[in-house]
This record gives sequence, C-alpha cells and structure tokens, in this order.
Amino acid sequence: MGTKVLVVEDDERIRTAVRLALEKEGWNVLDAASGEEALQIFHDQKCDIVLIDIMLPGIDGFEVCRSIRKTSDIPVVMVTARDDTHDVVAGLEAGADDYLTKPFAPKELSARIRALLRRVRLPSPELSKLDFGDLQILPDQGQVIVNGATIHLTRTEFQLLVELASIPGRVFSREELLERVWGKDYFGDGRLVDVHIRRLRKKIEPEDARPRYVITVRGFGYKLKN
Amino acid sequence: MGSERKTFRLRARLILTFGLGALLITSALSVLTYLLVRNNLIESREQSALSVASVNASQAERRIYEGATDKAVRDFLSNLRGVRAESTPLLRLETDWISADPVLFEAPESLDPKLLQAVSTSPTNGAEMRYRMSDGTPVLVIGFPLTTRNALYFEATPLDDIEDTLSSLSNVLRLVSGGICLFGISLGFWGSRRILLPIEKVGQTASAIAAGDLAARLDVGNDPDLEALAASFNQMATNLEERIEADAKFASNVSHELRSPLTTILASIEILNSNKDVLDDSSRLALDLLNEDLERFHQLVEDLLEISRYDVSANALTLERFMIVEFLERVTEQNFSTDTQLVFSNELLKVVIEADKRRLARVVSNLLDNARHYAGGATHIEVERANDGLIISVLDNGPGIDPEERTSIFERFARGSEGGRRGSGTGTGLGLSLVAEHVKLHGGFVTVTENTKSGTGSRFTITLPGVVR
Repeated sequence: MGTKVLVVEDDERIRTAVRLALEKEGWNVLDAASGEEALQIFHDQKCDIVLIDIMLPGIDGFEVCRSIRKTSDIPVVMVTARDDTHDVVAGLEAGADDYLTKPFAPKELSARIRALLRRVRLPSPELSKLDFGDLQILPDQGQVIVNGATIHLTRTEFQLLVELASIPGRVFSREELLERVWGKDYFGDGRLVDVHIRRLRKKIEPEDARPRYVITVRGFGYKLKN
Repeated sequence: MGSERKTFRLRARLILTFGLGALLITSALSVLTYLLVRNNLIESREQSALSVASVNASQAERRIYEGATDKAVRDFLSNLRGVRAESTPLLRLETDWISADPVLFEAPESLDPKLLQAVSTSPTNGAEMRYRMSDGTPVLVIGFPLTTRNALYFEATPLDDIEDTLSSLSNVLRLVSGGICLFGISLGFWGSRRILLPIEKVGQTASAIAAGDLAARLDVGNDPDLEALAASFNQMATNLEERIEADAKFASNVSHELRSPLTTILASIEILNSNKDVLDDSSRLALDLLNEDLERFHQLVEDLLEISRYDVSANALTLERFMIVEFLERVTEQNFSTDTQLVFSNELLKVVIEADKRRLARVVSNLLDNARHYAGGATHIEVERANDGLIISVLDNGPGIDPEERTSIFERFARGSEGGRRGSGTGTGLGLSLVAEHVKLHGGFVTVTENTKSGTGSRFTITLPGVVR
C-alpha cells in the first residue's frame, strides 16, 4: 500500500491533472473539491500528507489546515495563487509545513512531498536521547519533554529541533536548515524557517518572547543553547 | 534643475519690481517734499526780507533827505536791523558806497552788476536777486532806488541757514528713501516667497508623482484662491493614479488568471512526457515543441507576475545577510553557466551583503540568461568592492549592444534592433527590465557598456549598496 496524498483543490481541471501526474509518480492520491469534503476524507481515511489550495469555496484552506492540525501532525503543503508575504506567512502560521506557488510542476510537488515524508534523521545512531536539562529530545520515539511534560510537535517542527540539537551551540544558517529539514536548495524561502522557529518556540519555550533554548543569531541564523 | 532656476528668476523679478517700485515712489515723494519746502522757505524769507528792506530803505531815505552827514549815515546803517542779525545794508550816495560796520557786504565786490543795473534803472519798485558771493555764501540781495542824491539802498541777507536746513532735509529724505527701498526689497523677498510657495509645492508634488509616489497630493492650506488650483491638480493626480492602478490591476489579474490553466497544463504535459516512448515520431516532435514553448510561457507568466507585483506596489524587500561570493557561485551553478568564470579578490570571500536573496538571484540569473540567449553565454562575472557597496559585472563576447539601445534594453518588452536574431525558446522580453527594477529596489542601478577586456561584447554592471562587512 503506497503513500496516500490528499489533494484539496476546487478547480476540477487542476485537481484531475495533478492527481494523474502524482499517480504517475507513484503516489496514492485522494482528492477533495472543498474544505468540507477534505475534512470528511481526512476523518474517514488515514492520509500521509495533505495538499491544500488556500482559495476554497466554503471553509478556506487556512481553516482546513487548522482543523487538521487539531488532531494530526501529518505534513501539510499549502498551495497559494499569490506569493506575497501575507498568504505565505498566514498559511505557515495556520500550521502548514511548506508552501507552493501556482503554477508549479508536479515534479516539484513530488520533491516536496518526498522531503516532508522523509524519516527524521538521527544525529548519530547511538544517541537515543538528547538531554539539555529541562529540555529532553528522544529522536527515536519522536518525543520532546520540557520540564517533565511531553510536548506535541509536528514532524517538521520536531525535525527542525533535532537538527539544531545535533550540534548544540553551533549556529545554523537558514539555508542549512532549509536544506536539512525541507530538502530545499540554497534559494529557498527563509520565511519557512522563521515561522517554524516561531511555532517551535511557542511550544517549548517558557517565555517565547525571551527564548531560553532556540536563540536567534542576528544576520546568521539560529542555534540551540547548550 | 531647470524649474528651480525659473522659479528663482521669477522670484528675482518680483523682488526687483518691489525694490524699484519703492525706490521710484519714495524718490518722487522726496523730490516733491524737497522742492515744496525749499520754495516755501525761500519765499517766506524773500517776503519778510522785502518788507524789512523796504522799511529800512525809506528810513535811510528820510535821513539822507534830512541832510545827515556821511558819518551819521554810516552809524545809522550800522545800527539798522535787518530780517536776520546777519543782514547787512549798503548805500550809494552820488558815487560813494557806504557800508555798514563791520563790512560784510560792500560794493562793487559783493554786488552783482546785473542787480546794480536793475536797481539803477528801476523807477521805485527796486529789484532783488539771489546769488553766491565770492566766498560762496548764498545771499538774497534787495535793492531800492532812493529819491534823493541819486542814492541806492541795498540790503543783503545771507541764505546759508536755509541752505543748511535744505541740506539736512535732503540727507534725511535720501536716507528715508534708501530705507524704504530696502524695505520694499525685503517685502518683495518675503512676498515672493509667500506667492511662490504654492507654485513650489505644485512642483514638489508633481516631482513626487513623477518619481512614482502616486499618492502624493497638493496641500495649499485653506486659501480660497489656491483651492481651485489644488483641487484640479489633485483631481488630475487621482485620475492618473486610478488609471495606473487600473492598468496594473489588469496586468496582475491577467497573470493571475493564467496561473490556474498553466498549472493544469504543466501537470498534464508531465503525464504525456512520461508516456513519450509510446508516442509516434511526429507526436514526440510536437510534444518537444510544446515542452519548449510551455517552458517559455511559464517563464513569461512568472515574469509578468513579478512585474505586476511592482505595479501594485506589493514589492517589499525581504532582506537577508549572506556571503556574496558563495551566493554568486550558487547562482552560476543553478543557472548551468559552468563556463562562466567568477573573478574576485580574496578579501571578497568573507564579504557579507544585506539584500533580498531571491530577487538578487533573479537579477544575476537573468543577466546570465540574457548572455546565453544573445551572446553565446557569459564569460566572466566580476565582483569588486565599491565603498559600502559592490559592483557585480557580467561579461560576454557577443555582438555587443548599440550605444543608442543601452538604456532602452532595460524597458519592458524591449526588442533590440536585431530582434530577429532571437532564436526559439529565448527570453521573454522582461528579463532585463526585471533586473533594472530589482536592482533599483535595492537602491542600486544597472548599466551596460562595451566589454573593453575582449574588445567585443557587453559588460552589464550592477552597482549595489548594502555591504555589511
């Protein structure tokens, strides 16, 4: 049984063409023409990744994404018709892991899906626990414990944290993080990193305005304080 | 700027008018005042001198008639009181001249011959005359013929006091005129500023609009005279803004509408591509053509979307800091311009620039694409440090660009005079205009010159600010 991709797109032509192209690439594709239908399918069948167009009749893509996020941490890719900052950031804030701008080639979409479904890499095979006092990361169990409480992270947030934790104290540039977490090239969008860092901080930092673990190094990138 | 010079000239003219006007009016008033005062003073002096002299003359006539001696006549003259203390009588008896003591006025030295002649021939009225004595003193001399012993009576009254008064008056008037003239000039200075202020504002606002600030409006306060001007000017600006916005919106809408079908086409053609081996030769060829033009069409839509972002002003820079040399290496690599040599000095290796990476990547790859399409590929990319900025040059060995076309190639959909040489699958006509607009947004500029290194081809030079260290 292959990987299931849920494509949410109201334009029938795009939906059909994208479904055919993704099936050609070997994915198992489910499709939905509206947000309501998408949530129904998502509820009834187990999907591995969701692709959501922002502009949907009825409940919009942001709302669909937020609903999915309430119960699941599966990767979500937002499709926007505009690549201005507002839509992109709003989509990421709603919980999307990545975004694509129309028009896109299905090959590009496939590459994104593959990158997002890749297993979380372990910094080193023998390391089963990364311990930073109050903050503990258990990579093979996919768990993060802050002050004894287990924190729920999405796969992308978790992978971002593990990358930073692989060499504590080392500054990772946005490009490096894009490459390691999203599998993007040097010219990826730094906003992806910034929004995910923000989300990560909200979950693991005691005070997200004054971060203790994930530190911004102005002009360079981010590091995990050791 | 030309408009500034014109404004200044207009202003200078206004100031000059004010100054000259003030000078003219005060001069005329001053001259009039001077003349009136002068005539008034002299006339009243003449009248009083005439009446006193006439009384004195008749007294002298009586003395002579009563047979006074010369000595007695001299004493009488010395004691006579004229209209001023300095007034001096003079008497001729037969042919002898008798002066008062002390002698301030005597004949014939001090007496004008014309007056003597006039008085001698006058029946009774006498005559008067104003003139300057040999020592320069102005005098009014009045003479009467007496009825006995062929006598003539003269009385000289110095006018130096009047002359002093007039001279002071003239000085005061001159001073006042000068002052008023200066006042006029400053009034002109101030007034012209007030008057020209709205014009200057119009100029500034027009410049702002011309520079791209379409929201600039004219505010001239609540002067009813200027309100009409401001209203029509602002109406014009609003119309212009709406028109430009409508155009931009149209282009933006068109490009947006192209997104959806293009997504469908891109997905569909990929399916065809993966089934290429089952197609016959002519279908394969058709598919190749379709692929090539679709790629170009895709690029065109991307470029149009990019351009329309400028026009609807959604073009904020996303600034990041990165190392320029590494960046250029990546762009060249991604652009498959492996034959392009990156030339830089070692100190540039660590130089960090703050810029919008995506846009700058677009700038460089567009220049590389341009070189590939029209000049057989870029030979070198040179990087140099320039103050707090960088100069990035892309060189090629192509046919070069005519000097007349070196600015127009940066316009949208610019086509060179040898546009026909563009092969299939070449640029969109928007690439270089995007280069210019992205660079301008960063506060830099782009130029194209001859490639003097190889003697043929072009050198596209981007000057960018924003070096951090």
